[in-house]
Amino acid sequence: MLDIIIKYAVGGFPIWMWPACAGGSAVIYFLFHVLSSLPQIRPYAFLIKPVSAIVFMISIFMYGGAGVDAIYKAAFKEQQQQLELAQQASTDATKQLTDALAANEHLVKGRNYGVSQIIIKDTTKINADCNRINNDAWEDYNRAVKNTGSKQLPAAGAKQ
Amino acid sequence: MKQLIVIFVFLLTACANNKPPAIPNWPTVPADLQQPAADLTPLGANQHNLSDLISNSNDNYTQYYILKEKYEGWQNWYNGQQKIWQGLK
Repeated sequence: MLDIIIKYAVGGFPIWMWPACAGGSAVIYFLFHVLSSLPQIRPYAFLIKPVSAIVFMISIFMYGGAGVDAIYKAAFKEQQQQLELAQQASTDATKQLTDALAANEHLVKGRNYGVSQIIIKDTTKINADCNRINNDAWEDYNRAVKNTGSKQLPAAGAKQ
Repeated sequence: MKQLIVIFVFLLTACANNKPPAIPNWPTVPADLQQPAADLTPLGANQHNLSDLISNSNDNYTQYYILKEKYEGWQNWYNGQQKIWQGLK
């Protein structure tokens, strides 16, 4: 509730109101004798000095608070702008990297295709000297592929 | 006097109207870098030719190069983001 009052009531006051209030209360304070001589005000004359003094202090205080608030708002706005720029730069960098990754992966797969075509072309020549690889070689190769350390047992934590 | 104190406290809080800090969004990692790493392909049961072995090696080396790209991509992404966000201050 207090937050709402601060935000929509006190926070909504224009800054010029505080020096105006301070000046007004100072004038009232120094015109105490004149005001207390008026018959309509005379019954409340004892309140003029303390109330005007308090209003003066509060107004000055609030004027200072409004100034600090304005400084914070300006700093916040500047920080927000820097953040927006950084976020845009971050998004751009990520997109650039995404594009580069896709292009490089495409390139790697393209080279793989090229090599596979060469292997297909050379299949007869490759298999001429070694038509069938040794069973142990086959197993050892797969063991290496699967990162399995032992002939009997797979290495701890290794995928099968 | 009590009312005066309440009013004074109320006015004091007017200066404590703090603004929320500007919170940046956590940068998004490229989707490619979040994909799980593919396993290497072993030789099939009926693949006993040397050409099968070379072909299989070609595929597995390709996996390595794809993962290398992703690994370097992670490094580039992290260093790039660090440079951007540390430049704020």
